[in-house]
Amino acid sequence: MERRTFIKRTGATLAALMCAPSIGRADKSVVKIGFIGPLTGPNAALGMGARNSADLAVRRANARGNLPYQLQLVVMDDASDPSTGVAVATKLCTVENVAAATAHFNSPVALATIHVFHRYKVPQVMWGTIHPDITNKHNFPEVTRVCATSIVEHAELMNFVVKERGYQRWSVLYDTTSYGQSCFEAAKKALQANGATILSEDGVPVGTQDFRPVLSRLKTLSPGPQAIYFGGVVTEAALLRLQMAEIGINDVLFTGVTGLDSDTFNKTAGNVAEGTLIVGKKAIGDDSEFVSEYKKAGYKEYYEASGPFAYDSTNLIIAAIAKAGPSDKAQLAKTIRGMDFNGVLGPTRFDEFGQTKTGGLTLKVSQAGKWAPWQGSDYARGARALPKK
Amino acid sequence: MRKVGSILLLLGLESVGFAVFVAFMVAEGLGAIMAVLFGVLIASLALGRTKRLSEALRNLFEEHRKLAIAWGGLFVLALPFILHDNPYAVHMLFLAGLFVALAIGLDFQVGSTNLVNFATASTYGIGAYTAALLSVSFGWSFWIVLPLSGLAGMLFGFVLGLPTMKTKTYYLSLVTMAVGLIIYLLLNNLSWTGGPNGIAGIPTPTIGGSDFADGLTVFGIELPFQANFYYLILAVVLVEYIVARRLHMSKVGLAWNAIRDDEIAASCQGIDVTGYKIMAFYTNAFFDGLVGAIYAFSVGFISPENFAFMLSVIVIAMVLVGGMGNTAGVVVGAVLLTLIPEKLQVVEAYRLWLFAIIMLVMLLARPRGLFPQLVRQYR
Amino acid sequence: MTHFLEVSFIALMLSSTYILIAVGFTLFFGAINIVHFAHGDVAMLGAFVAIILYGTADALGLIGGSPIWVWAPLLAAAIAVATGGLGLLFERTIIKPFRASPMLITLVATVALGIIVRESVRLFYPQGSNPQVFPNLFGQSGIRLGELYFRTGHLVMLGLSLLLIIAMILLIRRTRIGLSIRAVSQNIEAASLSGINPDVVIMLTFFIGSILAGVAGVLIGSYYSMIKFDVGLMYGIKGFSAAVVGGLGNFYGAILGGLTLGVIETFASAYVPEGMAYKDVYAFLIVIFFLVFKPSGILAEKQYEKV
Repeated sequence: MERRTFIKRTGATLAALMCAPSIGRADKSVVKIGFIGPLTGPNAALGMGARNSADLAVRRANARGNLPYQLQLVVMDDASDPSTGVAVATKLCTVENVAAATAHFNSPVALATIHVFHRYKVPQVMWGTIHPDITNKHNFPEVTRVCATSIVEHAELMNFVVKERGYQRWSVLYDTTSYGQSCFEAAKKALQANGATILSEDGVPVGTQDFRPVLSRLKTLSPGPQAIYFGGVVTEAALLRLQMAEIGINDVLFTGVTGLDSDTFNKTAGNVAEGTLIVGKKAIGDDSEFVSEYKKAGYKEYYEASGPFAYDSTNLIIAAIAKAGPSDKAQLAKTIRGMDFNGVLGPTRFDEFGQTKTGGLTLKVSQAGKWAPWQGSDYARGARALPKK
Repeated sequence: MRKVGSILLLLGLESVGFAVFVAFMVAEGLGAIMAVLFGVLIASLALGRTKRLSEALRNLFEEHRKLAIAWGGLFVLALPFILHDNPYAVHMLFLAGLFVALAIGLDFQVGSTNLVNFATASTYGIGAYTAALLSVSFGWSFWIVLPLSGLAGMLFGFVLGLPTMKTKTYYLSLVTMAVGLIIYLLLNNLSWTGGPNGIAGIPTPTIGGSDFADGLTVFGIELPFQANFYYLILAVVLVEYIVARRLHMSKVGLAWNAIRDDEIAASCQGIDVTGYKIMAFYTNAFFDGLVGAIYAFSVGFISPENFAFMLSVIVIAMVLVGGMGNTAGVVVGAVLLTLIPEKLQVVEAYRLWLFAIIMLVMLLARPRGLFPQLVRQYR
Repeated sequence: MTHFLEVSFIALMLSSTYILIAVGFTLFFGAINIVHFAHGDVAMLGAFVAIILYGTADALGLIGGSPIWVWAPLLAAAIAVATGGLGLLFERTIIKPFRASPMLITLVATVALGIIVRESVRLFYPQGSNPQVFPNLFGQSGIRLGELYFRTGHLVMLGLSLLLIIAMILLIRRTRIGLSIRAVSQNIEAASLSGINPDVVIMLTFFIGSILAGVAGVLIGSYYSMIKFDVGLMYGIKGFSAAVVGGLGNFYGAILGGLTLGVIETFASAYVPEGMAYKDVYAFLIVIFFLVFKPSGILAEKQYEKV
């Protein structure tokens, strides 16, 4: 064949081949949704669980295919560091041009990034932070939050444990991160509001393994505490619970809030986890759609306490995009605020600050190695008894 | 003709470097990033191994020194214009600028006196918190707060340097480590520093009626607001560099080097060893304080997490990876180690792991840094 | 009184972990003048190795099928060799290349190594980001002394650690190996002139130091019934502080430093109101205090600077 013709033909074939992929596709435009969470650092487990759940939501929405868009999740790691958070938030809002984002476990990071999202008018749905200032201080229209604030969680916990169950003498422990600190302040307020007596308050640096010195001191108190509250997350809570038993603090109730609401607590604390009472997220049965789909998708990491919140926040964003379209940011933010959404955690509706009114909270008790909803548990029926002095 | 040729060669080489840099800034995808890093490594290896090449380049640079610096300076000033539709990139440039300032200060201290300082994060943090507290509690303007933050840092640096009277080398480095850890814990636990939630609501600086939070329009091009802070930190870096050079060339610098080389001989010469050591600490700390204030005002929110122990180690790593004692090297090191973790966001959870591997590979390949120090010219 | 005794026991357990790690730091410093910032992570690896090997032994039926005095020493030996080997691997690949470089480079390189080790465990071990349950060999059994209750498991681990420390002291002071280690740490050239192969001695030092760190890891794992990927960093920093406070290069100094740190931390947590939040502040303040007044550590020999 003549050289020229050969080149022409090869060129034409190549050109055709390059165009080929786009012929098959239904020409859906891509809409990006941002995800920010701690994928490295001490909260990595929570961050990964949330990330996987957000990913699951996007995948399932794409599979359903009833949107005129192809959704893409843009994942960023904030490493629990506000500076990194600001950088990745800026990236999502500018370079990536996301329609909306779901973000953060750590409140300090969120407190820094709400300004970034506000500047670029990108809606942001928090899946994990509990500090009230995030929504209440500036009331940016872009900011919403699907999890309850620490105030609501602790009010519910203490109303039940102090008023209904009569635990009057308390020892309070908390970790000195933003999360633990917020929990402590809310717990203290709720305890005082219910007229309980706080015998001791101890903050511990996060990463502390040994609570025994403090527990040893608590043993010397007379009369001792009837209940011990811990404001923090799973690892420290499990260590504390184990050491309580080891050092001989018996018949004392152990309580906390959603930070403890993960199977990891039961696994790590083993037998002594029995009878721990918390206010956790809405109970999600193992047979629920979320759990089975999560398992089917085959993620390496467990969905932890944060997964369902991230799943709901992402689906909420997707539902809002379906309603209002991804281009008008202000309209999208308004739509999100006005959503009446039903998810894994039950109904979600936002108040005037963008804070969820419902929050999906349930009283839970650790029973036979699992978190069981209080209603219907052996403890509620009287078949098992909570520890009580 | 030869002169024009060599000028064009120099500017051409510089421009290639600039183009690579801009490409790196906008690159996405692991392959592109690794390619650029690989290129930098190869370049530094080539320069290191072949003496003739590095000498030829150095002569070329010396011949047209002023022009080369001017061209480089022009590029640095023009960066926000080149990247004007990418606010994220300009923000990254600003962050890199912050770390360049911290790294130059540290390099200066470590290189001159061989005193290792693990408390950079603390001096940086004290500057930032001073700025935050003064502006949020008293409403003082940025321009008053800035030098005060520098002074706060300086004061702390003075205190930090006091143990140098007796403790040396590793023991001193442990003291700075301990101080760094204590400051972080205090910032986190004390209520008047805002505790773990830090201090929020720091306003952006204003100058003559315009706010740093607003974008800039120069020569008809709209620059994102992050450019304002970029130019601010550039100014600080420039001042810092000039001060460092001046000190290096002066009696003070000679004293520092004498102490580094042989402390006993230096004191036999009548040099006030302790006094100069403390001076090294507080000079470095002054600039750290300034940088801290700029950071606080740029983000509007600071918390103890920004000033953790690891940050001090990263700044030390920047100096070492870049090349201790060589300012150009340190700048490269700071820029690389700021940009790489951000570029690695693409690998999500593997980010930190990959970053540490890259750092280790760089150190193994170039143990004296990418661009190691040239011996002091006693000209 | 019982409270005091209880707190003292807690302090003793904590000090033992610091001592075991500090000894490694002091050995490495003595031999080749470096600070090994990933040493704490070697301890963490020791605990993970223990979990893996125990699980394997259990799966192979060794635990149930043979008496404890058969499988326990075997398991211990396996953990020791594995951890020692890992420590040695790190030395050969990361530390040896920087021997000729200034100390700072080794430090930063080991920091990077530490990050890689931590992240590798987190990323590649199943559920690595979460705490891992440590096998409990002795259950809840223990010895009761009045109001105090000491778990058998804790006592056994404490006893083993003490035995190991004594064995180490004997090794250093009474054996030829110990002699060569001391020779290399005093003057590496003179030692090689005396026919000692310094490289072999260095490898031995890292092997032994890492075994001790591994034991520390097992101690930590069993004392807290769990181990998490990121515990190594703080233990490394505290172990390093203990070694420095005691006097770098001095074996007894590491013991003294470890005790000092452990006691301060524990007693501050127990007796000072709100002490627990500031326990690390107190510990590091004491470190600074000691270093300012005893600049080369408590038990350091007089430093003669040669002109």
